[in-house]
Amino acid sequence: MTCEDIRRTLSAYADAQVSPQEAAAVEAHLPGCEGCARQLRWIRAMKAGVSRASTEMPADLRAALLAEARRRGAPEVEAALKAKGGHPPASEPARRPSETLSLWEAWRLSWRLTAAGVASAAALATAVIVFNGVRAGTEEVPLDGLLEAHRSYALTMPAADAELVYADLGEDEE
Amino acid sequence: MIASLTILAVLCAAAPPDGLELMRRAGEPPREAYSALVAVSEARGKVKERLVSVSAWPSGRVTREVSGPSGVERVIAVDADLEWVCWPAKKTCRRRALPDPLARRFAPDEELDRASENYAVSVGTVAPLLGRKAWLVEVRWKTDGALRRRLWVDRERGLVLKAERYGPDGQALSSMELRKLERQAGGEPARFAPPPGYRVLDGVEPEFLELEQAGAASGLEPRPARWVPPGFVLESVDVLKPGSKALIHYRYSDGLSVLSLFQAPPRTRLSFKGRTRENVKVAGAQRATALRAAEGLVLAWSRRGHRFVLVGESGLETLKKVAESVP
Repeated sequence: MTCEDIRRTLSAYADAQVSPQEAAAVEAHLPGCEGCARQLRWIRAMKAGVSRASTEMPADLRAALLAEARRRGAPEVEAALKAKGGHPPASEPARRPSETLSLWEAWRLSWRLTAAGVASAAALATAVIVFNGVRAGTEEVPLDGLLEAHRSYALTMPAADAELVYADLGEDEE
Repeated sequence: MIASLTILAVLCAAAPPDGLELMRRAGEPPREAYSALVAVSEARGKVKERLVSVSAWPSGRVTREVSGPSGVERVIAVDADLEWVCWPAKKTCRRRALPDPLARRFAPDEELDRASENYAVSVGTVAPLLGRKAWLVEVRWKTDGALRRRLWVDRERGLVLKAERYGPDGQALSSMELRKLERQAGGEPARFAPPPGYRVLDGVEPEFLELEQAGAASGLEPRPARWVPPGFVLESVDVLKPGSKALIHYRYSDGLSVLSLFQAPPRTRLSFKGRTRENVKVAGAQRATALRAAEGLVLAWSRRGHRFVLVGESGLETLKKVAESVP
């Protein structure tokens, strides 16, 4: 399995919610991959922070999050993290772009954290989501609009399945 | 001599018509007005069924009422040069001009020629449907013989009484069947107008642009696919603007079905609105995800900051190959 494959399963692996085969693949991969191993440590640290129901964020985690917020230009995240205490490091640690959580993992983690009702966890989850590129100024494009454009064009075909296409036309629009 | 001509006439009369021509004529206005109840079924993960009440007139006007569990969900009216979609629950209608088929890069005849190059179309006889004699049209992909369409066409009226659509892997995508068909009594009603109190929004009709035009209109560097499934060609391009950012819509046609590729600029995020989807792997791409829709499959991914979406009837491996060819 590649690093990309492994990282998709790390959150579930940390929760012991993977198949034996997936667990074996992760355990075989980690000793030889510092990047994936570091990501697993980070995930476990965040999950441990939630399970303690503590408002305390591990200091090294806060430092890493602040550095990343500054690198990505996310001042609102930086402000939220500073409000929880801690200061950004004097120099930003070198960080490869691949060493971030996937958006799916961040979303999944944030949902679980928010459902746990821990205020600091919600702020942390917001920071994690922002790390993965959902930044202020990002515009949402509904898939439904794209499907509608596809249908409208399909109706211009001379042998169009008119009734099949029309049954969907406008279905998903707000 | 006369006997030979008579035999020839009988043979010609008995010969089934051209299948693609039957399909094309099924989309034309009817010779006489009718109303029908159509059941539409689609496989989107799970099967979804709807009833559509259709009324059609020789003028070309067609009204469709799509019903769901809570009643009429949408009313779609095609009236002369306008298409209306109305949502009774929201008291809203969207109005837009119908696209001009002659504005397409490929005229209808060219598309049908392409379809006949890619598909083998056979026409045979079949048991009557709804008490009406019908032709059975079967459309198969020439390369592997996979059945892609099956249509029951009314011999007298040319209407499609029943239709089935299949993906290249043989999976049923959608189907429709007339449950009731009767002549439309009375004259054609006045031109369609939204009910009183409805908000009317103006929609945008599809355009048919060249690549360079789309690039200029969107401000994006066009990045069409370098590989598409055999038989497909880039027919035209359009520029969409769902918000403040413009997207490019590349439309590929094989004469029968459509493959859409959408290109969105950086700092856009796709909203799937709760659709069930799965992460997949596309070489050289980030965040690739796939889901099933009535149109077939949807594959979305990111590359070099841009977001891309493919929509089509092709299988996942084919869509991934297309995606991997997008620069």
